[in-house]
Amino acid sequence: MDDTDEQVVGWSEAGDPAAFVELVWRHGPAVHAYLARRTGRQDADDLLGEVWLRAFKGRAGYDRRCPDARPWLYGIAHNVLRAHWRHASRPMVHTLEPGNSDAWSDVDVRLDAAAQRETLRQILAALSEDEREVLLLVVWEELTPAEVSVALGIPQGTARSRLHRALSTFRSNAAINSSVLIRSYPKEV
Amino acid sequence: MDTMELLEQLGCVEPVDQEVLARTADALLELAAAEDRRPTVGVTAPVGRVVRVIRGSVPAGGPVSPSADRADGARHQRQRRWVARAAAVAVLAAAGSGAGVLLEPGTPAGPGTAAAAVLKKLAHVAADQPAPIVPGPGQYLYVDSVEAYTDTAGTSPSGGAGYTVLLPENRQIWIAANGSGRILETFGNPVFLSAQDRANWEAAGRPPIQHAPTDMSFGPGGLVDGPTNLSNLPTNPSALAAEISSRKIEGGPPGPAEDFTQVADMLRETDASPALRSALYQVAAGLPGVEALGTVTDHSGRSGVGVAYVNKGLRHELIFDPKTSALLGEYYTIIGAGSGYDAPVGTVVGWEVYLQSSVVNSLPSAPATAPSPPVAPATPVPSNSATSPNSATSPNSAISPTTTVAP
Repeated sequence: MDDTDEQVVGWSEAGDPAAFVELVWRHGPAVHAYLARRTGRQDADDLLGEVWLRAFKGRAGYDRRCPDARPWLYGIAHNVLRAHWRHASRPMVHTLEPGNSDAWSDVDVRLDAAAQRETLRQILAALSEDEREVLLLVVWEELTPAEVSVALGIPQGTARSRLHRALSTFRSNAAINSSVLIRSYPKEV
Repeated sequence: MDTMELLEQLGCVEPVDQEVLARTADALLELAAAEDRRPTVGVTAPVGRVVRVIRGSVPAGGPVSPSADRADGARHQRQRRWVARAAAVAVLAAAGSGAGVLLEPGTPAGPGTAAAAVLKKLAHVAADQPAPIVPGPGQYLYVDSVEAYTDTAGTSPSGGAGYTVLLPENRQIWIAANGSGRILETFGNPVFLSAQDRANWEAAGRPPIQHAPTDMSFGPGGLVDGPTNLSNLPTNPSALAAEISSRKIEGGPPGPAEDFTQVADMLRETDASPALRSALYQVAAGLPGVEALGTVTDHSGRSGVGVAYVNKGLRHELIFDPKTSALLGEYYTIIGAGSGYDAPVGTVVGWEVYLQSSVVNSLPSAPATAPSPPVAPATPVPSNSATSPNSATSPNSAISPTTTVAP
């Protein structure tokens, strides 16, 4: 019964602009989560409207070959975030701040995880902004490299190489328990 | 703990508040409305000529016995539905007579339209509403409404043309959890739909068409029939849509027009849960052909968001409070050929406004007390004197009980 995002955007361009609002219900939670992971919940609330405003005004630029609008929306959210950071302080990955929420119940695991968390934070901070964005779009937003290329407006090959570099940085970091280094990330290829 | 799992976990965030999403959707709807340059077709201008029929089962001129049986109860509980159906039947009968149904140009059909956006937003609002207070033992769901419908009569086997009037009424209903209850109705002045209708009535010897107030009481099960009991319905939109479209809840012809009718049926005079109401709006959002009307005004002057379904030249309009998702009112309007009414396009042939819905502890004491006066409309309802020699000019004048037919 549901139409594809591409059809909804098509309607909104063909004389029925209000049809676009359907996308807010479909993807608003995902876009908000994207923002919240990178700036915190409060800022995400504030920035969400700006993302959708830009999306609505720029809907003619939506690539209609893409049935799923999320990569396009993340790309817009990425630009809104960059503008936000330019006016705020240095970009940082919100959820990697020390002392943030703890999701683990098992004490042993938590201790181990706590150690690794700090390492993760350092590694992510050491990645270039471009590499980090590709990696997090894959790991957090669960995009494929092809979708990442749509979101960031970069060639697929570039998305793949950045992802590869980011994952290599992880693997080569001696501080990380070697038993987990070898696993290849499912979306790497 | 795998490194990637750890990284994934670090991405866990609290889900967005529905309120934040709703705010965003509102802002976009405003932008969209500003951009939408299609001709609007749905803005309601009450024509002031509403019709309602003489109900065969209720003798005009006398109160109905309190011992009305279960079948009668079920029938009156769903009276509006029957009236709507009566119009549809008339339409079917007239459908062969020629001109096709007029569809508004530029009306999009299908889910993903503006109407779907409006209904999905209502669904989100509905889901966030507090659960209604359900009548406990000895308590009643009370609904107060004002409405008017056409009533056609006089086509006798002995010949003679029929005539149609529009009859306003104030309806109060008390429904107990066990299906017992009461309906009080008082009627306003009947209004002939056209000069020809009046002439036909005169030719028929001016039979009485005034309605005395009615007071009907129903025993357990008399008002809530099995199939209309909402508590057993699924609240998953897909499952509910399947039940409705397969006619498991109520019978009826196949197709979205009937789906729309049944959704509306379940929103009136019911204490449907927020989850069910939300699901009903989502079902409506998925129906092809539903139109968005933007901001419209109900017959009592209240502003709301409107959606409509056009079937055979007749537009059925539902008006909702955007803040609570509550159904405020309805209109049935002739918008094209094939409506089955011998009246011009734009003629309103039915309307309702729901004024109050609450849980009360008792029935009014007999004899029936006078019902509350209907609310005055914010703007006068224009009459159409060219085609309606004795149009009601406002719900107030139309509803005031009289004993004679307006000249």
